[in-house]
Amino acid sequence: MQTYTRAQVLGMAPDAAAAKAAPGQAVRARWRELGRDDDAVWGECQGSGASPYQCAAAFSDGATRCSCPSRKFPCKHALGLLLLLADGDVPPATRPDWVTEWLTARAARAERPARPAPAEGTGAPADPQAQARRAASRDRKVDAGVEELSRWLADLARGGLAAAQAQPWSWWDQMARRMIDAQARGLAGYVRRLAEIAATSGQRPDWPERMLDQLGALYLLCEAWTRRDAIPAPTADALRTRIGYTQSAADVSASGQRISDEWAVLGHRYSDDGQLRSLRQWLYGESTGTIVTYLAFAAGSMPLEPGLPPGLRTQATVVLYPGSLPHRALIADRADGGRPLGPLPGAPDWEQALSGAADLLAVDPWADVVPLAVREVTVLPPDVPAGGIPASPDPWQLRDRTGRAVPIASAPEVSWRLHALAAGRPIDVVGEWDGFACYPQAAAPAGGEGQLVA
Amino acid sequence: MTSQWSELVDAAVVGAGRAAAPQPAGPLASLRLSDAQDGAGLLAAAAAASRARRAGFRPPDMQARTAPEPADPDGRRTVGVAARRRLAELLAAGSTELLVEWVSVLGEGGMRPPDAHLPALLTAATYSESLRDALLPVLGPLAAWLAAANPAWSWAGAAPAASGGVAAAGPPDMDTWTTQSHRARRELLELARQTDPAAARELVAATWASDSHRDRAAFIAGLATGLGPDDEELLERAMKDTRGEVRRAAADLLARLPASRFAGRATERAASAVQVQRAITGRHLVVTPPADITDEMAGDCITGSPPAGTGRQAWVLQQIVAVAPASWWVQYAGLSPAQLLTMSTRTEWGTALRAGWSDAAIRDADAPWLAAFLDSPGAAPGVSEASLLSALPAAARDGWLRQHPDSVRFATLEEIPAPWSAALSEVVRSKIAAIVSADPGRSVESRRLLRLAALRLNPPAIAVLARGDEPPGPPAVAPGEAQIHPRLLESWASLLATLSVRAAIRRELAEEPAS
Repeated sequence: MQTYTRAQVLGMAPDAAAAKAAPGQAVRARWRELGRDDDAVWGECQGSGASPYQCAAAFSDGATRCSCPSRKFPCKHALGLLLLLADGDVPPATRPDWVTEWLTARAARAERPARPAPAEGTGAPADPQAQARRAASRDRKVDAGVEELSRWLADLARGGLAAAQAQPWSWWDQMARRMIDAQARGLAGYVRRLAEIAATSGQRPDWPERMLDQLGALYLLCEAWTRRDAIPAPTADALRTRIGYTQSAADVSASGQRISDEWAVLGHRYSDDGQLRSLRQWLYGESTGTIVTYLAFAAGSMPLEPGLPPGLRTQATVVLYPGSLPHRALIADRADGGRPLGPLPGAPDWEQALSGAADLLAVDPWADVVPLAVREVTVLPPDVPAGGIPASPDPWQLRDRTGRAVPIASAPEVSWRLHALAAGRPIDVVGEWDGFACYPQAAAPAGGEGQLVA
Repeated sequence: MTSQWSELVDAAVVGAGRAAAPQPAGPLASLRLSDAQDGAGLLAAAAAASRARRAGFRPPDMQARTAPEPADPDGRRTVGVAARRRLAELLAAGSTELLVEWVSVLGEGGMRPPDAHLPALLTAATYSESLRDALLPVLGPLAAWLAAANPAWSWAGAAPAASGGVAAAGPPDMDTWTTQSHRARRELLELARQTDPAAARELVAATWASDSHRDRAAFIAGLATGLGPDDEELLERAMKDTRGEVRRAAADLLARLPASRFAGRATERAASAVQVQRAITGRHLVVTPPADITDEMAGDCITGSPPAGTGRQAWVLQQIVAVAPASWWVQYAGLSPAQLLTMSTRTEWGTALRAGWSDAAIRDADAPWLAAFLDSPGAAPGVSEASLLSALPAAARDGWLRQHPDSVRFATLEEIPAPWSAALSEVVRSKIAAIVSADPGRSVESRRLLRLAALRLNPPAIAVLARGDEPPGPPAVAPGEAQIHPRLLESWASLLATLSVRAAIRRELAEEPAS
């Protein structure tokens, strides 16, 4: 049977409203016929209507169903049901027919795509020629996309960043859509980030630097694609991932490198843009010293895989995706529960921490968001010189033992949290580095126990 | 490298069509990038230079910036991981009532708020007075340190001098007393009166001459905490104040000191205005309101301007009756409050007498008088059951409510602050058991009652109620799920959810920190 913690369940909520409503549903008086077995948990929930809602969740992938009219997945009833499960309030029981029917229907749907490949049983790949043809056809589409994008980029560079910055959103969006048509989602992502830099230029005086940095990376991606045969393996893998070639989780778990360790969740960021929910975690292997990133996305009715419990360290086996750095990982196997975070890892100063980032760039030159860990830094609050409001006060900074400092670009609440945690004394910090500023994710009084701060 | 990069950025802003892109020098020169002076050339240079900038990035030297002095250490222990996570959830959800409770339980345990969450707590408390009142006693040196850095939290700046933890509370030094804001000084006085009333009074006396009338009135009112005979001298001084609100605040407290000269004057006046006479028909009250207001009466804040609808003489009589201590009337007349109430109905001044007695009863929290008024509803016009009950000492109030389940209503209970006693919680719990299974004819009232109870029932009642939630078997007290009226199901569920969060708050804060 699958076990969840309350935090994990609430992490699956499609939005804040559902997360807020869920605990109110996790009350036994609301439920009848509660039960669970090895595959699922179910119950009938008394809602505002006359008849109760039938609600169930499958353990295999966290999918839920509920007869309520809500279009959220999981709905508040399903979250309430999982919260009851997390609290140990659901007894083992015999599965009712409606749950069996649902699970069977799901299993049938899951198998259908596999059916066209009966050749698998013989051990040979399904029609290798057809596969090669499909791959070549996609590569040709990407070729065309890259060529179009290169011309567009050259035009942009000729016209100048100032002119590009003044372009309407649709101008960028059109190119991003062209890249999606060319099956190069990664390139589309770059174009969208450029559009974002243009749109938020009013708040970021360093926007030309950021835009040129992204343009340089994107141009390098296009150039590298045209010479992909001459590029050594690990960088070529990174190139394909950055362009938008993905690997199925099944392929990765079959052939990827596995690492078993106690993984500390040193970063946990959830976002929801209305269409897509995403989760990014930074996982640090306590004995191997490996840092990987866990990414999960869910659109519409898909459940969001919750990752490891935030703010804890959990024994787990992860499998690395080949390609971009730091490695993306999927979680193959995890133990129940977890321990609170211990002391944080970290380099003695920024320079040594950043040299780790340079090592990543040497293999994956597009590694633009990387984790940085540094010990004993001082939090510097913004300087506002007495007697006047400066044009741009020095922002929040983290200064290391050698006196060098990087700016913090997180929301002010995060900086205040760090400031309070430090109370004027050195702290250890783990954060994301985007090449310009640091976004702290976890912190600890020097040598003390870490906690998430973002 | 840095200057090369910024030259390249400058060129890129205007565009390769207008300015020639600077070609990389140094190690990057060997790359022999496209020499075309066009967009592609600029992009190739940007690709190389941007990657080089990232790989070779050295943060600037910032030794010149001054770091803040460290905050004073706080010796109190802090909370474990589960409690910290709960606090973060409550802060994110903005549940002020539960935050107040979390902070109060924290303070009872002598713990400090978790450092990293203090800024969010301070921000939440800046917008909520109830949370601020709960938070102030548990703030330590870190709060003062943060308040010094953020003007929005300046209200927290005074706290550590006064508290530094609950145990260390004592009178602030004269410097702190004279330099703080009005609000902070009121809070300092309140804390100081709780531990050392005499020293606190000395503070008020020391700055009396220089404080504003607003300060003086507030500080006199603040002496209500820990009020005693030694306060008379300062209160008499306040009775000579030029401002009416200061005099009224002092008169209110002097009336609560039965041995004071003020009370002596008040009882003399009361005795001459109201007499008990024995006749063949039994005892009765003879009421003779004074013809006019003497200087002495005016000095004791008795006014001749009645509120609309009250006659002048009745108003003067009411005030004369009210300023005498409630308990004095029983001694003076040799009659119980109930007997006095009955007799008052036989004089033409009855309404004024009862209005005065009810004022005195509520001011003095006089249990026999309050009980008498509660037992004869409507005796004092305009005085609600809720205000009588909330003046009654807790034990008497809870006992009275137990005998009068019909009075267990939202309007009454709302006046009784958390935490409720075990006895009161028991009474409310029975009431809830009765209403959730019956057809709640007044379901708005029932829903409000359930919501209030969710936040104020005390811990033992939480446990028993929560057991009522458990099928199967006969429910302990509350009805089982099947018996809950559908119109109250939603409120019932959220009652249980809130109670279980409150139980969890206590459990988590009782746990030792993980290390």
